[in-house]
Amino acid sequence: MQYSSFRTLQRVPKTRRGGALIASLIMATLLAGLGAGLVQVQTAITRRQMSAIDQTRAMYMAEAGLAEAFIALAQGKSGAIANANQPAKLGGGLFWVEATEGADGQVLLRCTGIIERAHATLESVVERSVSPFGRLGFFGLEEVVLRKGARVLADKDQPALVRSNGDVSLAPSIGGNLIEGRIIAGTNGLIAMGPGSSVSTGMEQARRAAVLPEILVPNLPQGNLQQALEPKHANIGPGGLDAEELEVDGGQEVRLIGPLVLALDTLEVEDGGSLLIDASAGPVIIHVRHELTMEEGSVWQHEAGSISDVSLFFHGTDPVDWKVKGVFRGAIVAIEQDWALTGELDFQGSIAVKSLELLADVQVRGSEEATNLIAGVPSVPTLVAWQFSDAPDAEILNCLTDPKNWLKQHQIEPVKSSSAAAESEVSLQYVTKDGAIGVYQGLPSEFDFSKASSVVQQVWMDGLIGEGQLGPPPAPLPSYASPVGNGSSSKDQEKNEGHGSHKKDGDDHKDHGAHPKHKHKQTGSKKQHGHDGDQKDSKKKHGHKDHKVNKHSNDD
Amino acid sequence: MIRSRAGFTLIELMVAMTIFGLVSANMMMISKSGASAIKNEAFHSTLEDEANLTSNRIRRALLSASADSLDPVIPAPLGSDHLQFQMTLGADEKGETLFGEPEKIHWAADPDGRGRVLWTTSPALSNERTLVWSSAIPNLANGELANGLDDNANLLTDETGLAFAVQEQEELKREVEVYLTVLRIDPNGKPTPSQRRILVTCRN
Repeated sequence: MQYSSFRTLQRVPKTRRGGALIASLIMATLLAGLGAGLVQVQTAITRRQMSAIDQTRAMYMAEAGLAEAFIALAQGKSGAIANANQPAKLGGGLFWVEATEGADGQVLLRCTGIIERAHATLESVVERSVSPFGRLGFFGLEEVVLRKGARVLADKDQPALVRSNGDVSLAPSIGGNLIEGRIIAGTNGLIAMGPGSSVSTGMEQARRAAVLPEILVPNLPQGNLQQALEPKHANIGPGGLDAEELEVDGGQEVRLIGPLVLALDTLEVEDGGSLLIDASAGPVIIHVRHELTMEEGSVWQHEAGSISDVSLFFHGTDPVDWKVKGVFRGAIVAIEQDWALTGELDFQGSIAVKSLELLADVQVRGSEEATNLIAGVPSVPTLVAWQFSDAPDAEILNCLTDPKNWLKQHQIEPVKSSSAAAESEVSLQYVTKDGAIGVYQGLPSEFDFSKASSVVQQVWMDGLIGEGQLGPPPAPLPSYASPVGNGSSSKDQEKNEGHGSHKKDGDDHKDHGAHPKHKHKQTGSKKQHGHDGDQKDSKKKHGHKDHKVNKHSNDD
Repeated sequence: MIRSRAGFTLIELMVAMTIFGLVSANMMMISKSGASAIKNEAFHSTLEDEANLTSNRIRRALLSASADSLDPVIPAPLGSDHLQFQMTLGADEKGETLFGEPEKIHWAADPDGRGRVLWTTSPALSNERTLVWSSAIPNLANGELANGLDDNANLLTDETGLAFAVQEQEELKREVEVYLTVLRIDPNGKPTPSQRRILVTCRN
């Protein structure tokens, strides 16, 4: 008689031995192992498929980030959105965009998007703000004709551009033309060159026709300018005004002082009359609706200010009398007009008209500034290149856990993508309902845009990243050119070296003594949409008060 | 004296063996089907991975391509079994756009009678290089017959296992539809296809 291995008092009969339990346990273990293996295989397959989906989603997240940066560039900001230490959140993912200045106002945007544990990095090169008119150089929608001896000169390192959606003709006679730049004819256009002509850079047919946006006359307060012109020397501006006519008599000098936006039915300068342009303090933008007459002997004299700060828009279809002499620095846009430039006027800038003729021996010069920037024209960034890129060396990408857990561990709250741009506060110069110039500094969401009839300039300042929360110091923000209306691409880059974000008190909107380290300027009429000249004409018939154009006043 | 009655009776043994046989047979069936399922699953997984990898490679290449450089530009229902393009690499220090070497993604028949997806840089030039992205691409897409009709209702006619249809949108934006069929023989000896259709808009 044997006892059990535990020496119980119960005696175990010999006949009750067995290994069934052990055998069944072994079988169960084997089956469980097999099942676990199958589950693991299936889990791995599922995880791999989810990872592939997340990888695609991360790529689209990165594209969304690039789109946010593109919009920021269009608004005049740097394009930097959040940073690797404090990314922006969008949908179920995270992203940040690094912006680096390149050559000629180009910006390299690199966006990293993260979904779960997958990430993708995309790069795109964007031309910061390309004026749809300025980049066309000397442009005739239907044709450009250069008469004998006409010359188009380059500006510094920027070759000139003569372009048309139709044909470009250079004088077919001895003593041909000189173009220090290139010619682009239309997609089916011809380039006709006479003997002796020379084009330094090249000639080509456009791959696509230039598409020109419509420029609308801004909605400005009504006024009468003629009474203000009683003395021989009169100043108009700064401010904004919509008037029937500006008529400068012989012997009279009228100085237009920026920032100034004028909308006129008629602009007429008689023989001996002078129009002086002072854009040193801000852009001078002139819209003429019906009649433009600069008689022979009249003078257009550019006194101060950059080329990209002076613009003349002609909206009419009646023939223009343009026999002015003097110095013109700026842009002319008159898409419904045939326009001839004479040798009497020293012209530098850009011109976009229906049909352009450079008369015999006239010499004009292109402008590097005007290529990208024209006051009064909303400019949009242009995509140059897009490609996949290597992921940056960021801690959030190298962490072993889910990036969202990593942020929680480091007590970092991602910012909303809509408020994640590196700049959040703006300094606005605008034309009030009374025609004066007002200035506002602060968050654009807190500005009452109904007070402004037209925004003349918009400068972005360093701001907080996200809603009142200062994240870890980001990489130094690059300096960048202003998007519209200010030739600051070289000057302001020198001013804006050495910068970083800074904390500002929330109520400090009117701190005019503050010197923001970054200035991102944008000019253009804020309310150019939804208003046309016909409505203006009907309003004028009911009369209007005389209006004195005041100097700017701080108005918030 | 009483002798101990150790041992099993014949009937007990027979019953035990029968039960053991039934259980073993079931166990073998289960393990066999499990092994077969694992093999099939592994096969399908590999097939899907191959199709995903190939289509992703094509997509990435075309995303970065310059829309102007696509050649040929043939819309549905004709399509093409090859597409030549150039990638935009970025901008140089002068701001000029840089383009890469010409590239070509094309279907080519292999000696076994099937087909391959080849990626070639600098085609027809001295520095031409070719990589095989997939080697299981049939000469006709899944469900397609060489009869001049669109048998598989994908708006293409008699397309190969790799087909490109380039649609021109407004302002020279181009969309490329890519139809890819990967065909392999499964562990049971049955040809098994995996299809992909991707729509790519060239970003440059």
